[in-house]
Amino acid sequence: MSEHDAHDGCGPLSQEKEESADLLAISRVLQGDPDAFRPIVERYRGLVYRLALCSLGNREDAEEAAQEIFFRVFRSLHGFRMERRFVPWLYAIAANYLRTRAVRVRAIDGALVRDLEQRIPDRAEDDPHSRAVRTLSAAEIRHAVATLPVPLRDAVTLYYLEGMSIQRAASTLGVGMENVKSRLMRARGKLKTLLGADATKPPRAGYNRSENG
Amino acid sequence: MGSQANTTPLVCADAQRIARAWVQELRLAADDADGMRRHCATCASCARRFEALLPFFARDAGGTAVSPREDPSPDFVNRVMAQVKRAPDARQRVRRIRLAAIAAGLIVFAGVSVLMLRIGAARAAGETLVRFELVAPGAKSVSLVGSFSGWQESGLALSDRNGDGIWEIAIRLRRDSLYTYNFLIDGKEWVSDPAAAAQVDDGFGGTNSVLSL
Repeated sequence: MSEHDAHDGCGPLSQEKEESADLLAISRVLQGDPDAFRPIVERYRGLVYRLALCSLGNREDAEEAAQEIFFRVFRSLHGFRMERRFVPWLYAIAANYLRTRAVRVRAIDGALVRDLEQRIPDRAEDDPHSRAVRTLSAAEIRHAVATLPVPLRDAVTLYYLEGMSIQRAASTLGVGMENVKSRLMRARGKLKTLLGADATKPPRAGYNRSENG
Repeated sequence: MGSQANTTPLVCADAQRIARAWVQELRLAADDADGMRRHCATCASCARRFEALLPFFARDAGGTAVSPREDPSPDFVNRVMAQVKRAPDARQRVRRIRLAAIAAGLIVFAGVSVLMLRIGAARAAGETLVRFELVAPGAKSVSLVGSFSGWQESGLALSDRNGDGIWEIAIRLRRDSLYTYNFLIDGKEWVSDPAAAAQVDDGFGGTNSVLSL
């Protein structure tokens, strides 16, 4: 199943059922059945992987980090309090690990901005009258998101990339909804600067269309 | 915003106004998002400034995630599960939960050169260096309290240096001695060490962990 279907409440499992399934699986693991951990990995592998991807910047590191995170979660399950929700706890472990690991593996911010500028193709080559609107690839968007400060990046990852509701993103991050909205507003300002062409930058050679305003 | 997009094409001033408003507001009218897309298809200047933001506009206009989600490789779950089952202490850790809400591990330091020097010095004095480890991701503080410190509740503070939820401390203890101890989480929750060789009744309905050196 897709964890995102569940996030939006329209998939095979609603959020409530998903939480119940999490607790049931954890109980079984804690009773000595490590195979019961598999549905948890299946349900949240995408979320954890994409958090790692936005934090570390490349697939290899992200896969390795995501695997280590799930292993740490498994090893720490005995510390999970069943009256709490699993996803925020999972996120806390992932965020702590990624924060530590990102310091070691990346000098990413400046490099990614430069890399992103190179990845966005020069639109001057397009036919001004027939070009279709170009959509950024997932990797390009992810690279842009990766340059944001961590609190903004995680909020953007959950809301824009994961498609979570504000309420669920807030719950996952362990903050209030207004906090998430504030983070997203700040993130949009940075993304607008980063992804939109800088107005002070000279037009790329070959741009010969006139504005129609 | 939003009333004109379906009937009247946006002009550049509209696009700039919508983009400014988007930074401040969480929601964007679907007509505005669609109007921005169509405007960017015909205006090079605005395309350069806003085209990369179109997926974010669409998301805030009620769409789903901004881009196709990137997933880990197909064998990711199997690799995690293999690691979980391969871990020498994983199943032991799982079994420990039957004994306590939060598991703790106790191991003797070895391997790190600096520590070996310390161990050497400690051995000369008839002591050995012992490392206590507690996995407690949600804890704000963890203390080690035992007979070696007169059961003072201030205890010996464990540290979680890298924020991964694994708290640890190393202390010197005399050889050929028997100690009893427990962990105190957040100054209020007593946890015995299920990895200890033995537990003894504490006389208050609980247990103390036993360490024999």
